Amino acid sequence: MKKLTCWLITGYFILQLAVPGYFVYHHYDTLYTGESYKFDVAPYDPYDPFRGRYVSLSTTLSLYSSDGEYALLGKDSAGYAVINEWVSQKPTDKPYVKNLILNRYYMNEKMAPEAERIYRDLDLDKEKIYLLVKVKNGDYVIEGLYINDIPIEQYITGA
Amino acid sequence: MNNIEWIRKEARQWAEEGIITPEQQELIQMRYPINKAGSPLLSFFAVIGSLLVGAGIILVFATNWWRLPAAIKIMLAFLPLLGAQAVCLYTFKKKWDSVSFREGSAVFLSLSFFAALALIGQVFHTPSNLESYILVCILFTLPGVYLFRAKAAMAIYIIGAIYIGSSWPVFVSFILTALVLPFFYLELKGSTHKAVLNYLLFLLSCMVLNTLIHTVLDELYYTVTALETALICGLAMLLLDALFRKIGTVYFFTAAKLFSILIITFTALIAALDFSYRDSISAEALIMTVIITAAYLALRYTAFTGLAAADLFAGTAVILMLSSRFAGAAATLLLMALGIFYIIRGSRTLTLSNLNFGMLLVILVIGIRFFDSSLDLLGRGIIFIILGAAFLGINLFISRKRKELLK
Repeated sequence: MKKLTCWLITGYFILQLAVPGYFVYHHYDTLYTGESYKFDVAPYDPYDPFRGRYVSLSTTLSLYSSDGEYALLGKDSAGYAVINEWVSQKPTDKPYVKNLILNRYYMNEKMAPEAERIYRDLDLDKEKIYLLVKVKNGDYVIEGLYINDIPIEQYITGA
Repeated sequence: MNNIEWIRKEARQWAEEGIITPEQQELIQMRYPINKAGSPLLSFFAVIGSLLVGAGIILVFATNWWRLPAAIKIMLAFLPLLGAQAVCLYTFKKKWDSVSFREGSAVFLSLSFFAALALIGQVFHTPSNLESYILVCILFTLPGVYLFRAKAAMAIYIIGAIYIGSSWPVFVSFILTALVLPFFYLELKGSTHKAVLNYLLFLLSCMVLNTLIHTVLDELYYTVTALETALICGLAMLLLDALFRKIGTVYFFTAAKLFSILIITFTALIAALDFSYRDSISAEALIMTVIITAAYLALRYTAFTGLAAADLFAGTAVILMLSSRFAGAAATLLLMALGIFYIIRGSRTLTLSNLNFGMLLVILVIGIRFFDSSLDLLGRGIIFIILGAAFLGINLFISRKRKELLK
């Protein structure tokens, strides 16, 4: 009985490590080998009791399909993401996303309110704020939030 | 020294002084046997210690150390999990018979998994909402509940399940309940006492109320919060306890009552943190509270017994519900009052568990307010000095009283 429990505990521990391990592998793979897209965003500053402060984002591009369709991604001349087409079949040779949700960017608790304030003061006719996202095989990972091509953390600290 | 130890010591002294015969002393000692099962307080503090360490790790990670490279943050995410697994292995190999070790290590393991996923989610800005995150974490807590037979880890699972159940479709609540019910069966089968019923009763009452709210009273779906549900269930169990006491001599709600007391305390602590009570309370929850309280008061009034600790907690639940958007401040005062009540009661009867429960409540309230950035530093400083002096005074008083008794 004790031997069985020992095997079960070992299996449980491996599973516990495998799940976050898989998340890490999967995200890194997309981050390093995926294609970059910029998404126009508007941030504000809420709080998650476990994962800390983040800026909540809303994208100007609608990326959700209630029919579960795939969005074929393209880029405009400035590198911003555009949707070329919605298709019902999973694409095999073109970059795509399905119901892409870009709603969180985690930040230091002092920086998150500052990010919201900076966004309010931005002159969006002259300045730009965007999210850089890596996309690969329908998966995506947020690389960073940028203001005028500077990572927001650097923009805030002036570093 | 608790009451039992005291009476045994007194009986020994009476026998020595010839007030009672040695046979009578033996009869008294048989009537009040020493609890050899070990102190539940040790288990309690092992759990509290693990909770504090786990919660502390989550908070440190949530701070978002943005200057650290992602790779280092990811390594840090796995460290507490590996540490908790090592502690669990040690418990399995060397301390399997110790309830304190099993409970403590399972709680630590559960919270380390919470922390690991939280930090990885933070590093990669995972878009999942809080409910999905909690669901994954509690599903990974469940094997630990079974493997280590850990009731405290099960409490984490239940709290998570109730949180999810309040916003997700009702079948999710049913599945989550079904997954944990075999544990109750196993515990009931293997346990000589019925203490585990407290979890079962509380879980079932919350699930039933949640289901009622979701199905029969569908319009309440968006108005009654999980916290209000917990508070109403705690209050309802106090009512059931009072009812059973009135009806007959046999009742098994003592454990349920204790748990409801803990739930009301926990709800008050959450309200003191001011997470969910910023907005005014729902009228429906208020009506349910008033009805249950009226029934409870009627029963207590006809029972003709003196003020009991349960009455204080029932009062706490009601005041908390009535205080609406001032619930944060009300909860702080109520918890402080309850803490001081238990400290005084513990010092009078020299019961360590009462004393420590009171101290724990007060420490928790202090902790909550210590991190409350809405209060200014000077104000906090003065309050802390006054409270510190009061505690030193109480400690001095108790130690003198104990010395007098030992003389």
